[in-house]
Amino acid sequence: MRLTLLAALLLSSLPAAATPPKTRVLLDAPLALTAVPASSGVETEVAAWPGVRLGALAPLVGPLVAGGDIGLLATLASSGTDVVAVTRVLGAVEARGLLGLSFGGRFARVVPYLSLGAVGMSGPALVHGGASDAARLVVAGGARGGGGLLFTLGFVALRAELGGGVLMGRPEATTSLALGVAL
Amino acid sequence: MVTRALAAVLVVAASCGCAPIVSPVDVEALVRDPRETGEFHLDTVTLESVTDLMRGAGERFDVRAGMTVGVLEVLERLGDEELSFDEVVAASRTDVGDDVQPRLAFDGARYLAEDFDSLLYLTLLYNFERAWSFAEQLGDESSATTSKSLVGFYGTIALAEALPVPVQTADNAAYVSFADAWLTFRIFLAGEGVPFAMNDGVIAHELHHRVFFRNVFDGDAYDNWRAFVTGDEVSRGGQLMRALDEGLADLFAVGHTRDTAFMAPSLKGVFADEAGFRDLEGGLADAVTYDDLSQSYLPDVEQRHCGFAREAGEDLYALPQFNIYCGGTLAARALWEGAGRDFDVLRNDVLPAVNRALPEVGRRIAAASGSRELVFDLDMFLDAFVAELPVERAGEMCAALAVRYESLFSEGRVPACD
Repeated sequence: MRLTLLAALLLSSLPAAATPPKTRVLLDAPLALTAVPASSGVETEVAAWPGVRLGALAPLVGPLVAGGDIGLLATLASSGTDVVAVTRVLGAVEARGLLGLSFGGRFARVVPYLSLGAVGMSGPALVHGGASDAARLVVAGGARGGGGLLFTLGFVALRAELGGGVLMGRPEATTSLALGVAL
Repeated sequence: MVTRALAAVLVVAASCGCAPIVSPVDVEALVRDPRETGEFHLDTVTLESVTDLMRGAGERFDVRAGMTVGVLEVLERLGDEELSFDEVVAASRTDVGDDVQPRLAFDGARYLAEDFDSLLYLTLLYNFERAWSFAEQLGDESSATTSKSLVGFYGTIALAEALPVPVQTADNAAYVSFADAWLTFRIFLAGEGVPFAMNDGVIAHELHHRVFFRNVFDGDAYDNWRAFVTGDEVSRGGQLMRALDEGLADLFAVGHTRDTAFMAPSLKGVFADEAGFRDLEGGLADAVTYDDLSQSYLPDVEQRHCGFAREAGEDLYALPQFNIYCGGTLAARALWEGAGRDFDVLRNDVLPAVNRALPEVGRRIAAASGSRELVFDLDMFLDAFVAELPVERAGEMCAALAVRYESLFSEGRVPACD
């Protein structure tokens, strides 16, 4: 019941373009999940990417806002047995452009937006194979597009996104949740 | 090591859609250490028959991701229709799967796996190529080594299309004669040891199942194979034939790896006992004879492994619970003893004679069986095999076989040893 009341209060503060948007700087901590076809060609490889993202959204015309952000994310994945295993530690840099519509009042705003960007990643793949160990540097890149919703409540920013693209030469689906601050 | 390797590796994304990567091509794979029994390590190896490394295509076989083999429908059709082997194969391959998608880096000289599936894939390619070449070196000229096949990477054996419940998906490898293809399965999440598909001995064992099948049943005995696989009841001859198939596959793997316990690196934890049973120098191999199994006369531990008889003196071979691998260990051990426990003799004399004998085994099965049955006993193989041995090897082999297959010899059923 309390949540319903809160939602009603928030929604009541969101008359379309009741308050013109202003430039907001966003700093948040996303947790992204990516799904790409595994090398076996059979399974889907799901990876969790925690990280940080810094960006800004500025008003253009009316409720239209545009901006961009840069994210730093990382993941660790290991598979195999006690005798043979591969562990990958990858870091990714993602740069995106954002275009959206900002609705709401001074305190609470919602911004549906589209994103398009590029991602580059690198890190070691550590191979343990019986009596030997080896390592190689994984370098890969890709492009992502998608959409999301940004909610701001005062300084608190919450983002949810869905997207897709091509990563390491393979189709990729991604989703993320992020919590941070909007300044 | 890590720093040195990182510094040395100039990585170029290999999945660029460029021209196919073809053999000869060097890759890094997990290989058995010839100096340390049971030890494995990473090494650079050369693939000789690949026509498109990034898609799993080759001259001898293609690696297909997620291939599914159906069983029940084919068995029903085989029972009702006169299907040729090619028709059986086509009907069994209910899904030939997709291209594999290895993640590989190139360091200027060789391709390196960037994840576990890719390392498994490269190792699998190498293991199949080597086992295939070993069969050719032994003199095999059958369709087992002259016709192309498929390897289903992380494949599935399903009962039926309408009920695609996998009956086998985890940590093993298999040759499925219906589909004339090998399947490798996923490793357990908390796996121990060398995954089956990365064990060169396991792959050699599976490759030899095709050698056995194609040599024995590709000719006159094809109808007898159909009768065997569609039969409702377990037959003694069928069990003996399957046990021999397993034993010769083990012997081929032992010759290939020069390790009598080639499976041990893959059978860890709860499966460790199985490694001992399959070891040609293990306790079961030391003890078991043909007549022990015919009369269920075995020590308790071995009896539990080979299949408990309900009554003393019962013929284990004729029981559904008979463990064919037990009879396989017997056959492999007998021939290993006959080779003087010498890997060079095994590779140079014994295994080639086995290969030459297999077509004759098929002819003898066809001659002894009606078209709707499979009649088989081990003398059909033993006699044909000894006849193919170099004369100077026959004496030691026959002496070893006479101990392990006493009743067959006392009945004069191996005339090549007379």
